[in-house]
Amino acid sequence: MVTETKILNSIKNLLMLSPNQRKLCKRLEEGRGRLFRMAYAWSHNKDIADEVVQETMIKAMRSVDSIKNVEALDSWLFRILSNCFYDLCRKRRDEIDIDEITLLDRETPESVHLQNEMLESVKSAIACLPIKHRQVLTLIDIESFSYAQVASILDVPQGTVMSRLNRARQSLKKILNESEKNHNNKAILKVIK
Amino acid sequence: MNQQYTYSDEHISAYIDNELDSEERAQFLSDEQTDEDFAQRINEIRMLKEKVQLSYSELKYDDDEKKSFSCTAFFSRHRALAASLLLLSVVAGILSYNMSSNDNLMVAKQLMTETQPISAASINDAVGENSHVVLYVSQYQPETFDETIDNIEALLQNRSDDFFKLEIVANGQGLKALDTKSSLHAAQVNQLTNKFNNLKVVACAKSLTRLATEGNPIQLMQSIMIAPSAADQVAKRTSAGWLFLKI
Repeated sequence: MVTETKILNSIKNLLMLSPNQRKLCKRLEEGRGRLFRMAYAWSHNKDIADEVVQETMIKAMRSVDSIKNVEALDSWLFRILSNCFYDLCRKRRDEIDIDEITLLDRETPESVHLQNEMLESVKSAIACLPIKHRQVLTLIDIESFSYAQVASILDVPQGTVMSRLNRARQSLKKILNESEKNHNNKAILKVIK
Repeated sequence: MNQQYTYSDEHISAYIDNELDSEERAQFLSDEQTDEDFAQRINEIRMLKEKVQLSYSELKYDDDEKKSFSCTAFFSRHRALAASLLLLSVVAGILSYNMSSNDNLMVAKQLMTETQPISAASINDAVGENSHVVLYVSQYQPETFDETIDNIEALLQNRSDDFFKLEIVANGQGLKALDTKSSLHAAQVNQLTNKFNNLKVVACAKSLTRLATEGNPIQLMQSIMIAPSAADQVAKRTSAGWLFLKI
């Protein structure tokens, strides 16, 4: 009952929201899944992704009135997401090395095999990339942001975005090729046995 | 000329990511069609992009995660913001939580729609000896609301004992009486709730949400409480034996 009262009293706040905040509420409702997917692509851990999304939403609501161009909400939200992701990684420095994240949510080998093996290997390969490359690659390929938008989200020059993207794609290609070779070798060994 | 040595990988990425201007793009298209090796380089990067897109496409932010988001850590730390962000799901949750008795709710809805409104002057008589009264307000007529407030105040002065409780439940157009932006009576209602401990004024969250989404948000005084829905609140009171009146 106490919780209920708190919830209801809190609803009052909605009625006093600014137009930007109301617009953001709607956008967050629609876009929470996208934020979560991106945070997961960076962390490969659902708990971390969930926490990052929560913090992002809180920070977004607090500072939404500072936005002049409401149409640029998407880039702005993903910039907050990126900052929250780094903040969390800093907080949990002892627990997480953001450049050595493995697929913590990876399922059993059997289930992976049953699922789409190719897609799992792509995810594993992405998880091997340095975080800065991983961020650029996923923002462009998954969310289809332009280079200029990614530069704004990550607060780096556009040239840096292009070179990180290029290196990310080169590394990804190399990892996937090696993975494919290993897979073929294993298959051959299996046949001999 | 073999184009694969004239374009960098960064340049090819820019082509695939639609970052080139129309002139450069046209040149790329032309070269792609005439140079097989170059087309192969483009295709490799294009396929890589598609694989990345596909890899996370199945990832869903499921309902369980949403629930834990709204109800646990986030809410306890930042409840005001959480309520705003998750208004629809929170209200829906509260509604389903509270509406455990469909029968009571149906009776309440019937009372609210079919009961004849009483006049402001007859409030005192209508209450009679009853000690718990829920007064439903679904309309707001500024020109007659002064009289309503006067009569409510007179009733509360007459029944100043601790056993008497009056709860005013407002929804729909009735909420406009409580709007600090547009109603002169909002401040008077607030004064009444501050003056009389046995008076509560409750606003319907459902109506408030609807008005807010229609672009007509109601601003309430701090003393006004909010219930998930007017019908639910009336059901709660009438099922506990409170007298129902409509004005």
